[in-house]
Amino acid sequence: MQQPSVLIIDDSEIERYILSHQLKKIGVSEIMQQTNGTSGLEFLKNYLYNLQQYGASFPPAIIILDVNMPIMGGFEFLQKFAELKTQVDLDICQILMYSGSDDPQEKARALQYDFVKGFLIKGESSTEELKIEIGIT
Amino acid sequence: MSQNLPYLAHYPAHLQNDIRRLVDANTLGDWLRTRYPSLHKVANDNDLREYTMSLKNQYLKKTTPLSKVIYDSKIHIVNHALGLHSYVSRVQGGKLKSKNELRVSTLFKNTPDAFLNMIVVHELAHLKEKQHNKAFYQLCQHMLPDYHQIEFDVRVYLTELERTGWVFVISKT
Repeated sequence: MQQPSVLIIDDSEIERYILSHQLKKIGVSEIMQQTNGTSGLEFLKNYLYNLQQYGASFPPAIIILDVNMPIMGGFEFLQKFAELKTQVDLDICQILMYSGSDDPQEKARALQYDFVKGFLIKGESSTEELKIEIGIT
Repeated sequence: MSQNLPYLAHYPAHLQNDIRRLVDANTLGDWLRTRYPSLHKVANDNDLREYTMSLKNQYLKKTTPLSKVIYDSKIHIVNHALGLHSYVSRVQGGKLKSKNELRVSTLFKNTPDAFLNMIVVHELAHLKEKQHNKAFYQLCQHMLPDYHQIEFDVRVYLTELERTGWVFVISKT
C-alpha cells in the first residue's frame, strides 16, 4: 500500500531532521519541508508547479505543523489554510499539530478545525504514535 | 531523558536542547553523518604537516616555525576543552630553548575536512594568541569564516563519540 506523503512545517532544522528520520523509518518516502507558516502556504498555493514536481504525492496527505514559529506560527497558518481551502483543492490534507507543550487549551483550539487530525508532542511522541496518527497500519 | 552535555556546557540552552532532542531520538550520529558526508584524506603525520604548513603559510607566515606537526593518540581532551597545542621548553647546550609543536588528537583522523581544519586553525591561532580571547577568535574566523559553527559541530561530534564510541568510522582504538 502506498504511504501518504507528508509536509513538515517547522522552523527548527533539528525537528525537521528528527521527524524526517522517524517518517522514513515507518515507510514514508515523500517528505516535503517548509520552515514557517508563510512559506508553507506559498508552497501549497504553488499548486500546478508542485503537481508537476511531486506528481500524485501533491498535495500532501499529512501536514505536520509546528505551533511556535517565527514569521507565521501554527495557529495563524490554520486560519489562512482554512481560507486557502476555499480556493484550492486541499481536501486531502489533514493536519497534525506539533507542539513543545501538552496544553489542553492549545489542543482544543486546534481541534476546532475539522482538518486538524491530532496533536503530537515534541520529544514525547514515539515513532509508533506517529505511525498511528498518520494512519499507517 | 535529560542528557548531560559537558562539551557543550557553554552554549545557549536552546542549542543544547536541540542536541538533546537528537540524542533522545537516537539520531545524533546520523545527523552528523548527513551534515558531513565525506571525510578528509589527511591520513598520516606527513600529510598533516603539509596540510598545516599550507594553512600557516597562507595566514601566519611570520609566526614562529613549527618544529613538529603530528597526530597524537595520547592526547586526551582534558576537561572537555579542545586544547591540543603545546609549547615545549627544553634545555639544549645549557640554554633554554622553546619549540612550538602542533599535535592533533587521533580522534580527528577520520573526520570531515571541516573538523580537522577547525582544529588546525585553532592550534595555529595559538602561535599568535596564547589566550582564548577576542583577538584569538577573530584570527580563527579570519582563517576559517565558519569557525564558530564548526567548533560547535566538533563538540557535538565529541559528544556522540563519547556516548556511542563511533561517529564516522568504527575504530578498534
